[in-house]
Amino acid sequence: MRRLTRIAAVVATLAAGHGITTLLPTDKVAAAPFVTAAAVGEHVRLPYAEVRLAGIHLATKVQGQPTTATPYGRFLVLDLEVTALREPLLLAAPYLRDGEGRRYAADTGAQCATAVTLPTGLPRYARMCIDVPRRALDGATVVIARGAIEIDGYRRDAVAEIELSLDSTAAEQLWNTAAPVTGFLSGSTPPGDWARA
Amino acid sequence: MAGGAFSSTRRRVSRTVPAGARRGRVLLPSLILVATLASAPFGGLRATEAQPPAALKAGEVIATGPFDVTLGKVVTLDELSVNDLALSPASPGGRLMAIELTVTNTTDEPLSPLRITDAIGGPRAAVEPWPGQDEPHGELVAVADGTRVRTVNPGLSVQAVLVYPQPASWTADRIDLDVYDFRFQEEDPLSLDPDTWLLHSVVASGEFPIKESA
Repeated sequence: MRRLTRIAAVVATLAAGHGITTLLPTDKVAAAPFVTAAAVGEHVRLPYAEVRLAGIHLATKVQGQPTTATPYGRFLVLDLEVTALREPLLLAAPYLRDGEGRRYAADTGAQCATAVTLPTGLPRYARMCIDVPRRALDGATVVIARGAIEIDGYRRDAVAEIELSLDSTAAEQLWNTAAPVTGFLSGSTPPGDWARA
Repeated sequence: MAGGAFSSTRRRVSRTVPAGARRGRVLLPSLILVATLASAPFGGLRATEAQPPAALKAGEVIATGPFDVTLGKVVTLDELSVNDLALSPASPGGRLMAIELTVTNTTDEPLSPLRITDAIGGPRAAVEPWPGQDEPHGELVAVADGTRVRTVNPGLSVQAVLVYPQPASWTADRIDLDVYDFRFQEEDPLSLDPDTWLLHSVVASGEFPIKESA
């Protein structure tokens, strides 16, 4: 009788383990980031930083010293205001997600920041540039986080998603009015052509 | 006690097999063997041949998997200096070899320029490492602004030149170039690097004249 009870206990444990690993979507639930949605110009308070996408430009060139960067499409220039809240922070470059889920990385060679080191409590202005084709603008969302999506997929971290609210008409108009902007990495004061939402 | 555990004496077990089943065991492999031999005159015993690479020509689009690439001219030059980028030969008497190419990212993810340089190959003797490096490595320079090619986002095309230092010992006026494709690996049991494009095999090969830069 005692032997039968042991066998039954083992079988029940195995069945419970199998049920947990197959029925519960552990891969999705455990890895999903915590997303805060916002619009351009709004302040987003994440546990580690406060961020605000002050505005955007579409640029045909980013003028730096001595090199001027020319995009393969157009540069979507993001003017960001960021403050580390609890401790110094290395804020990674955001990426753009278009209306169909394609991902566009911030450009590493342009005269813009790719990651920003933030001291605690002091607001910083940062300009980040993403080289995009025309189709990327329709329904586009800027995703801001402190990690690298290629490595950990923002696993269980806080992420800000800022919708650019560009429909096809607005995107077309933005594309056709692109102009050169000034290269700027980051600092305590913004450049003269800082975007206003 | 004979035939127990750790004993060298084994108990002989007799299994009775029905006569029909025994016939089937012999008949089926025999039929397969006969069918295979009968197909020999039609190539049934010939080893499967790998697909030969396509002919690589200037101006033709080659699909590599994550991107399409089109090769242009191959030129040789003394040095390359654009904006703040300056490239010089790696050894005395050497030159630079520049391969014109256009690349279009056909995936939904950003494309690293390192992957583009991986896709172009040729004879080892035609190139040498940059100073301070152990292995030859092409510098990919964008035509539009003379800077090193950056990340190529989905749907974008970039015109570039792939520049290698060429040793003085290379005097040929033609060069065989290869384009490799990539194989998508969704899950890698040996690493934590899923959803990766891995360099696969040569998909196109061709001979290109090496021209003097104007």
